Amino acid sequence: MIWVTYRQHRWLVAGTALAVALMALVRVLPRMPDYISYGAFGAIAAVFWGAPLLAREYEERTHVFAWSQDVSQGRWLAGKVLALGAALTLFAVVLWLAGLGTTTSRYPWDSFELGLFPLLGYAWFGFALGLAASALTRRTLVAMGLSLFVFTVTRVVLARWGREHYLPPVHTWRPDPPPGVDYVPQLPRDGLWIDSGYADRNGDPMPPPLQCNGDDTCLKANGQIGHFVDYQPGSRLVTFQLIEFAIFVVLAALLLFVAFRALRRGTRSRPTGSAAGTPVPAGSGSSTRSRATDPDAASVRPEEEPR
Amino acid sequence: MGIHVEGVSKWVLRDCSFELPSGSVTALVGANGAGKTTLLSLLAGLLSADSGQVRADGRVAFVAQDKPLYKHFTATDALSFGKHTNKVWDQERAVGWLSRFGVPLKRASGRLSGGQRAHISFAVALGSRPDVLLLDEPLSELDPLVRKEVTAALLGFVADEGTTLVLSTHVVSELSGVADRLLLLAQGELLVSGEVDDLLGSHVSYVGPVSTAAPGPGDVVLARHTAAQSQFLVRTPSPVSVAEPWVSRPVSLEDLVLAHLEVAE
Repeated sequence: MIWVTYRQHRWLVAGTALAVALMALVRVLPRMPDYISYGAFGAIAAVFWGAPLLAREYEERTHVFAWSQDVSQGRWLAGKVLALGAALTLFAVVLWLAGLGTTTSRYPWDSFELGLFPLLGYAWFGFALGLAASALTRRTLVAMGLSLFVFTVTRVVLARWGREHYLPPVHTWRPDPPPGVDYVPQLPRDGLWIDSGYADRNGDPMPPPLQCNGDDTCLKANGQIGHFVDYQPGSRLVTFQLIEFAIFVVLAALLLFVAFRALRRGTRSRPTGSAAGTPVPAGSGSSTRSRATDPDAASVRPEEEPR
Repeated sequence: MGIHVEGVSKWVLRDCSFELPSGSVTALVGANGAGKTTLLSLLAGLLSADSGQVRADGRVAFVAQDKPLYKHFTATDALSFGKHTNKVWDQERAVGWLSRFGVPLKRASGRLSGGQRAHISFAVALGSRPDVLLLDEPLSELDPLVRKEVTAALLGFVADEGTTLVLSTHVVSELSGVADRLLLLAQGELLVSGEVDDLLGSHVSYVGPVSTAAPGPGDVVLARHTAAQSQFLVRTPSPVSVAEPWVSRPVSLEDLVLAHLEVAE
C-alpha cells in the first residue's frame, strides 16, 4: 500500500511539505503570532488529507476499482492511514524542530501549541476527523467544510475554555501591604493566570462588596484582607501538553473507528440506469415464471463476511 | 464450485439462489434495472446482502460497467496498482493485453477513450489471474468492430486458466456462442438459471393457425398472435412433435431470452 499511497497522494505530500516549509520560515520571522503559523497545520490535515481520502474515491467511483483487487477495503484504508499518518507525523516533528529555537522561555504558556505532543495530537485528530467526515458524507467539499468547522470549534473551545482546567489551579493569596508599600505581584512570570480578586481572612475569594465601589476603607470594613491568584505554574506545561495530546489522540481513535465502521457498512453503488435496454414490445399470452433453482444449491453454508 | 448464491435479497433483488461451477462461463442478462449490477457487486464483495448467502470461491476480480480508473494514472500506473494490491500478478499477461489492443502506456487514463480505459480495466483484472472474473457490461465502451475480438480473447484467457466467468449484458444479440450458462434476471427475480444447452433443449416454439391454446405440452412462456397465425414459445422437459398444421421449431438463445424478458415486463 505504500506505493499506492505514494502514487496517489504524492502531490498532496509535496504541497504540504511546501506549506510546512513556509510555516517554519514564518516562525523565524519576528512578531508572527503562533496560531497563525502553526494553527493551520492540523486544519490542513483535516481538510486536505482526511476529507478527500474516501469521498473523492466515492465521487469518481474509483473505490470500485480499488476494492475489486485482492486487498480488502479495511487493509486498503489502513495502509493509507498508516502511510499518510507517518508522513504527517514527520511534518509535525519538522514544525516542532523549527519552532524550538524561537519559543520564548519567558512566557512558556504562549508557546503551548508549539510543543511536539500538541502538534502531533492536532495533526492526527485533524486527519482522523477529515477521514470520518469523508466516510460519512462521501462528498469531498462537504467533508472539507464539515471537518474544518468541527476542527476549529474543537481547538478553540479546548484552548480557550478547556485547557486551563486540566488540573485544579494553584491557589495563592496574600494580605494587602499597608498603604505606601508597593504591591508585589503574586503570579509567577511563567504562570498561566486563571483567576484573581479580593480575598477574605481565610484567603478565600470573596465577591467585591457592591456598596464599596472600590473604596479601600469600605472594603477592609467588609472583611477584605488581601488578594488571591489562581494560576497554573509553568512547571505543569509539559503535563498539560500531554493531557491535551491524550485528549486529541482519544478523539482521533474514536473518529478512526467511525471511519472504518462506515467503510464496512458497504458500498452505496449507483443503480444502473443508463441507455435504453432490451427492446420489449407489449406482450400477450400467458406465462410461466419458473424460478429455476439448482437442486445442488440446497446445502446450507456459513455466512461469508463481505470483503 | 465457483459461486454459490442462496436466498439473496438486496434492494431490487429478491430471494435469488443459484450455483455456478468453477470454470463455467455465465451470461447474466436482464433489462436495465433488473439487478445485474447489484448481483455482481454482491459477488464481488462490494455490497453485503440484506439476507441470504453469497460465496465466491477463490480470488475475485470485478470490472464495473463504467470502468472506473484514477484519471491521473497511466496504464503503467494502473498495472503497478494491480501488482501492489493483488496476491498474484502476471505483468506479462497484463501488458500483453494492452499492446494487443494498442493502448498507450504513458498517457493519463483521463485522456484516453472509453474503449482504451476498458482495456486497462481488463488488463488489470486479467493480470491478477482471478479464480472468479466478474464483468459488468464488458463490451459497452467498445467499438462494435472489436467486440468479437475482445470477447474471443477474454474467453480464451478464462478457458486456459479455468476461471469462472460471469458477464452481464443487456445486448442479447452478443450472447450466442459466448456463455455455457445463463442467468436471467427480471425486476430482481431470477427467472431462468441453467446450462444453455439444457435450456435450448427444453424450450420449443410452436407455430400454426390462430389459436388460444398451445397445441402441445409445456408451460407457455410467450404467446404471439397475428391475424393469420399463432406462435407459442413453451418450456417443456422433452419437446414433442405436434400434429399438422402446427410446426415445432427449436428456439435460439436470443429468442429464449427475449421471450422471457418480454413476459417479465
